[in-house]
Amino acid sequence: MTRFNILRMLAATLAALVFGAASAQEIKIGFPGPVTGPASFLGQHMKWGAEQAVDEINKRGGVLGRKLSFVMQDSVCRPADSVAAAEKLLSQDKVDVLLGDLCSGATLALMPVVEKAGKPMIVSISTLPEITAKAGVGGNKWVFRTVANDLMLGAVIARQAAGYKTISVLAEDTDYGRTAVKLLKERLGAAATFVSEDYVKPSETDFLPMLTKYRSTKPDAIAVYMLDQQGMNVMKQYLQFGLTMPLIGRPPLVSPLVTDMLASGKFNTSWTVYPYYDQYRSAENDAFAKPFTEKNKQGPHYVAFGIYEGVMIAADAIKRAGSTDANAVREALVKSNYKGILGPIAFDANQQSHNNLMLMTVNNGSLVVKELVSGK
Amino acid sequence: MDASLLLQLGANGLSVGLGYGLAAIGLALVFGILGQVNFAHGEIYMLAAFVLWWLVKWFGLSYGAGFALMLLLMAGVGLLMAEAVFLPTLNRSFESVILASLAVSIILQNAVRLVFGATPQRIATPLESVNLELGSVLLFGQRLMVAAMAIASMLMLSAFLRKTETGRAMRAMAQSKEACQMVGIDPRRITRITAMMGAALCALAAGAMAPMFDLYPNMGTDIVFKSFAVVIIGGMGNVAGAALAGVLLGVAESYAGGLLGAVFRDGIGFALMIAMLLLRPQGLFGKSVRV
Repeated sequence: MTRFNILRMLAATLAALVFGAASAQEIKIGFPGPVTGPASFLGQHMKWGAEQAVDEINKRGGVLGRKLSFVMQDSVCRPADSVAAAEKLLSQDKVDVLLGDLCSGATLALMPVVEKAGKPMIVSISTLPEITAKAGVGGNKWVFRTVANDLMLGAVIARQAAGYKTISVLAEDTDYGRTAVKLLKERLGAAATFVSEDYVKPSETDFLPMLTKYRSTKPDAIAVYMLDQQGMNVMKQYLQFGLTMPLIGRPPLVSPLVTDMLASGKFNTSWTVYPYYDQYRSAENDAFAKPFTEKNKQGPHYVAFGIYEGVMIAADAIKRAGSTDANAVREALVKSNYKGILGPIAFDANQQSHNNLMLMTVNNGSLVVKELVSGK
Repeated sequence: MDASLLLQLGANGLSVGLGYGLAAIGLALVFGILGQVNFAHGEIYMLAAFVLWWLVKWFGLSYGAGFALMLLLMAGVGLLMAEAVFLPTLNRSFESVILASLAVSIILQNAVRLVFGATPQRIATPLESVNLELGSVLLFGQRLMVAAMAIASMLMLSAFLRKTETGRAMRAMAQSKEACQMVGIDPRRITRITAMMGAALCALAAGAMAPMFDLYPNMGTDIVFKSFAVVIIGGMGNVAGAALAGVLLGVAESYAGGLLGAVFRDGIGFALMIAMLLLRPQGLFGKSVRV
């Protein structure tokens, strides 16, 4: 063997050691989420939430003595792009656990992808009921959901909406918007008249025709189901119209960007039910929300909370599984009993957890948590 | 169905439609004079809005002063567009300018996201809380300003194109580039002027209209589609046609959205566009190269 060959072998061994060690070191959590597109603002919050969870876990020494890392690929919140992003995360980045996308349509499209790959996916944001129905027993055993779905939210919302005689609906023209409205109508039945129903594309910014209609038909309440950025435009134009009926359902009252609009007092008696609101005070929430706000100069949006807990639950399961073997992690997830910020998180037969939810109302120009309501 | 609702929808449609017209004139001008399709039109609109926001927020300028300065800066951006996109592709096939302007639109969208972030922003204006009530019809200060600006800029542009030397040179260029060179009109100079005016008109629309909504890096996408619909309905390159088509589209959308439901609103714009391409490809007001 010439000296050159020996050197080459040494170099190869060394390289194998270095790279082998690097890949054994990191446990990867992958997230196909919106970096661009109308939901990119929420995507940013999710990235912050996940990164905070990863930092906290790594400060405590990581998982199984290995460091945790977080990889995000742009999904634009669209099914096709989300699948492409997930394929990349699974095949190139070799992530151990996947987090579900923000938009329900995209998360739904991811379900067969993780089933084929045999990797667990934790859905912490998308609220379409179908995802729960298709997961767990008799369905896709790889999908776990920590966030309450629209059926669960809808039940709580319908209970709250019981007093209104006439309701107008303004929702985004997506699975999310249409399903939420269908549920509300089913639950309220004949007790309420639905004066008008408008579905708008998610990038629509001008609500002049609808607000004009409300000004003339004067419903008791306007049920709003849309993402923050769009909902904010509705609220801004609602103020210009001088309307006074309450916004109910899922208006973006929790967004840090509407605080000044709420202060006008024009949204008093509006209410919403969300999985989370950062102004809720408890020792557990302060431990999450305070460092988040300090670092990112904004309070955590509920999507940041959701994904933060998603990462925590993934890490908890990997720890209990004692390895990153996908089957072992899945088994551990099934037996989760994680102490979450709002209460214990465990999964039912459909691998859906039933966290507590927050009922919030606008009172004297600011949003307050009226009560924690059971998600069961 | 009460009359006040119909009146209000009509008033809304007029004001929104004049805004569509205003947003589309820049596109119509560039196409009419240069024969070039500018796919970065929406991003020029977006950039103008962000520049205005930046001037107001970080330099503490008033809305008016910021607006004026922004128009100058955006005319500069128009000049850059001429140098980077319109001049190099002036004598090439139409695909090259489409690709070049698409590239500019992608670069601008991502550059703005990189610099200003994805968090939606807002511009406050002195007119935003001013409402005028005419009987039962509610008129909004900012929307009235948009309408006034649309009418004023339309009249001024048409006077400029008819009465000034440069304007006549621009119209000559619209008819024939070769003939222009023969009579001593420099097509490169006209290209630069047209691009600057196109960008400034687009910026005028952005400065007036963007404060009514949120600012975000993708905001140009909807504007560019609406503008194309308007330009196609009005007749490609027909500046006055664009204004009238804008009003037509605005009113049609307003009634469709208010009476039939929101899902019909966008449908009507594109249905009109398709019908126009099928039945009258030269547009409602015809004469595709006249300005």
